[in-house]
Amino acid sequence: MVRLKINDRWVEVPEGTSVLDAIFHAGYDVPYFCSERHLSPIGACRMCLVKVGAPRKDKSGEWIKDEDGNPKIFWFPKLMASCTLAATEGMVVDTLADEVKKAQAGMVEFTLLNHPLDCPICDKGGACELQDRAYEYGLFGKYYTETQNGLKSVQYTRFEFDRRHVDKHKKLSEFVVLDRERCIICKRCVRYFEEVPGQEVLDFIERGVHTFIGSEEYPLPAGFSGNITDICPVGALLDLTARFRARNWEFESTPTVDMNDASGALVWVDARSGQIERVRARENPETNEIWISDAARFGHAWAREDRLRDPLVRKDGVLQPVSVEEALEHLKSLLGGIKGAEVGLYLSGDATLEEAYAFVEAAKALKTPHLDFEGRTAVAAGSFAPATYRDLLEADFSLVIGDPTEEMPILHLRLQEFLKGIKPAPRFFHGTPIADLQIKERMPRNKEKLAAFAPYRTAVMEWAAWQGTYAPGSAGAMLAALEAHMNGKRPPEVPGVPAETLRAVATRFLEAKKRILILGAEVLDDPEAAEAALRIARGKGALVFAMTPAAGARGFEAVGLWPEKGGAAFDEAGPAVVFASGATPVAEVLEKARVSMLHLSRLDPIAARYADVIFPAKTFYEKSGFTVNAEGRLLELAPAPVAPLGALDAIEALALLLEALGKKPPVSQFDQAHERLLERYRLPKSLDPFGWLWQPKPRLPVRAHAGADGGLYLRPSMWKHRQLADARVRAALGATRLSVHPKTAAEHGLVEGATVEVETPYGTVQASVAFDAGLPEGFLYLPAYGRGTGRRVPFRLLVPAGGEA
Amino acid sequence: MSVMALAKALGITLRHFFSKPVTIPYPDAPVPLKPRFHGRHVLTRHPDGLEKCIGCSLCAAACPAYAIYVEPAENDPENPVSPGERYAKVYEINMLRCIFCGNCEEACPTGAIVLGYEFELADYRYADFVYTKADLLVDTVGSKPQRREAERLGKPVKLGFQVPYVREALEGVKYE
Repeated sequence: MVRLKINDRWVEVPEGTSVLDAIFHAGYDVPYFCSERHLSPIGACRMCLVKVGAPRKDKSGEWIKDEDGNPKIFWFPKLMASCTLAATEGMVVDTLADEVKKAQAGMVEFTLLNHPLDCPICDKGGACELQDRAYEYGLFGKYYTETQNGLKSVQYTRFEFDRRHVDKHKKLSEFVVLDRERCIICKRCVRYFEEVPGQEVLDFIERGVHTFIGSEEYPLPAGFSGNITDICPVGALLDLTARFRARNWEFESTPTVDMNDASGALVWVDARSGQIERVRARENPETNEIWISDAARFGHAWAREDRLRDPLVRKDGVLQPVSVEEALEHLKSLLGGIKGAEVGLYLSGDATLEEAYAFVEAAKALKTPHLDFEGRTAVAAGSFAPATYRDLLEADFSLVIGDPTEEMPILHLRLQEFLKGIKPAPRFFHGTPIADLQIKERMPRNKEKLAAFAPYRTAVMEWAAWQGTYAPGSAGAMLAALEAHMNGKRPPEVPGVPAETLRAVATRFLEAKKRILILGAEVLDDPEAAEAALRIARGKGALVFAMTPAAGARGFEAVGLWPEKGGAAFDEAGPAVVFASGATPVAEVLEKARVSMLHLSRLDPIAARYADVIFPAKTFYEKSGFTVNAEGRLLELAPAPVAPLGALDAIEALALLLEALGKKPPVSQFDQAHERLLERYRLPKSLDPFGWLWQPKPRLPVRAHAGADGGLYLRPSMWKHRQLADARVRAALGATRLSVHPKTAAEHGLVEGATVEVETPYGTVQASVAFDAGLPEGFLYLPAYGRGTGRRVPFRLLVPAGGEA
Repeated sequence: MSVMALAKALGITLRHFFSKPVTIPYPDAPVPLKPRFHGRHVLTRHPDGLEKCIGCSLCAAACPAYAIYVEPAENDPENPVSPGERYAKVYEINMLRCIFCGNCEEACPTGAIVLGYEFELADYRYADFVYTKADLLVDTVGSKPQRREAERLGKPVKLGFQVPYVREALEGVKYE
């Protein structure tokens, strides 16, 4: 710890703290534009200039004293940028001197010199750092003076001169637009791409007043580009999905959790006039820091458009909107003589913990074994000792089997920190350090800390010293071989992955003091692979990130949402009555059921064809409740004011079903479920904003999926099927690609670039054939978009009318 | 009380009986208004016909009565509604909520929203008091009920006021 004096206050901060953070920690303020939490401090904007002095030691190692016997302060000859200056023992900082104020005011004026005056039409207006700093630190006195009667009169105006005119509407991708006139050259976006997702794409072009942000590429790399719109201190980089939807003060902002994946990223949902307009990242230093994935940020139109508002009932083969009472009467007439044990209860992966609890209670009341959730893995994620992101930063080695970039996007970002060797930052009075001196530009990634395997080339393989692509389905063989290498036994052959690589990984794994296993859906869905991973994790003491396709999987398992012996799983036909909330089962299940009651926020083709009764559902943006992420961190959802009138949550819809069956529902409302859940599992009433670790270890039997050995591999994708309803998302993702090795393509008679229709259990998809010689032979690869992630399913290839194959 | 006083009083009455009355026989005669009168709002246009309003919502932010609702949208560069990138797709003022304070006019960065002179806004249904862009744009003369009446009779709108001169801010407005 070092002690230093900020104006009149002595503060103690850890070594390596920047003076900027020390100033904020002392409760004083200093303006800055280029520093940002979790980015390297570079001192580009020169706004944080302060007067700094420090004592010196003489040759004997004694402090040089002044006349009074105190250590003599040697002031730096010029003002210093506090963000790049480390705090040292006995340092004295003056942020209030006239000299400092003049320099800061001058810098504000320089920044404003070429900044256009279009604040009224700028989407950042009202939330703009430049606006705020100009008011707080600008050269106010030059523009306004006090008159005798106390009024302020305008002396000058900034409208007087013309400014630099450059490109105002430069589209960087389908989602992000750049206004070069507004850019103040802080370099946050340039540094973000290189440092956080590791995609070096933007840079400064030209020099001096001609400098602008540019890229060779169009569009920006997919995955994490949206975060630059959050960190841009001005309105230069803006979110196109929210372009001109409202001013910042008009939004109703709701703090909630993104449920598109299990990473537990916190978000702000901004709504206006009862519609979701924008999603922004919310800070959680434990999980997502200040970043979220593009799918979480830009994929929200599905919750706004084409929502179901009234219950639908099938009469004479056609779905018709009716009132809730009518729908309930109709349901009662359909369910006459049905026993509780014939009812199947299925929940979507993005439901809350309360809803899962209500489902478990209802299954107990009905005595039905048919209970499951969408995206359940064959082996429970809860069987593994969960790793936290903090554990990851402290680890020496991590072995990835899967694709973190798509399956748990936040993990991709945290892996970058892990590879750079960044340790969790200390918490200050003002929170996360704004200028963390341990982060630097272009830090080397220590590839020796990472090994990555997947059935195709993933983004994280770029930073892995050992890597390999195995054929889908041979993850079990690979893990068995790794285990054999670790135990010094004779390893089995793994097609596609050389034995030397596996031996080296096994050696490195055993050498490391703290190890992390990162397992994708494919491993968790393959009982053989998952059990090998479990043996390695338990035997060698590794913590595990289980990247489950269902966002709340760990929580669902903890409350006992798991199919019982003899029960039909989510995509298995069996129960006479199917009730699915938030997700539509495969067509076969609905076709074989006598009655199917669905609870959906939007109609989909399978539901439109087979469902008997459909109730309108709330989306996860509109729910209250708890969720548990992949770390076992309990997080709290809050409802954004956007739910259509009449939309029900899963607890209410389930209560309607039980009522129609003539049973008293064990829980019929959210509050009831919430209270009982807290009581039953002794959960805290109010959570810490960053979450609360709850890592129970439920003992759940292995439950494999039926028909998981087809020739079509569904590769993970951060985008979900429902998000593709938005034309902007479809344009950004481009045509769905059916990737295939040229040899396998020849076997199926496929031509590169041809458009084919692929019939999968989840529906028919139109895709264009793309050859990729890097893929293992014998399999076709199609993005899963959230349905059957990481599974191998049977398929049929059809040639559409006018197409060629 | 003397007879003299009675005569004096009667004299005053008689004098006013024959003098010109100060009462304005509204609505048969128009009311003279001062130039800075605060009446129904007008959305003005630039001389080239583009709307001055850029949909910035600052009027709505300044409004103490929450009477204004603005929904902006992006201009089609081929066929712009206003200069620049942004225009007001929806612009609504609830005349029942409005207190005619003029803060919106003060807040407007482009001088688009200006308080005019029309004050005859009385109507029957709540929904009819929400004035949309079509009712506020400079080309529209008269309040909603006045225009409805004029349409029924097939005559031009009859305004119940006159002003010595129209303010400069109300560029292009014709009260006739």
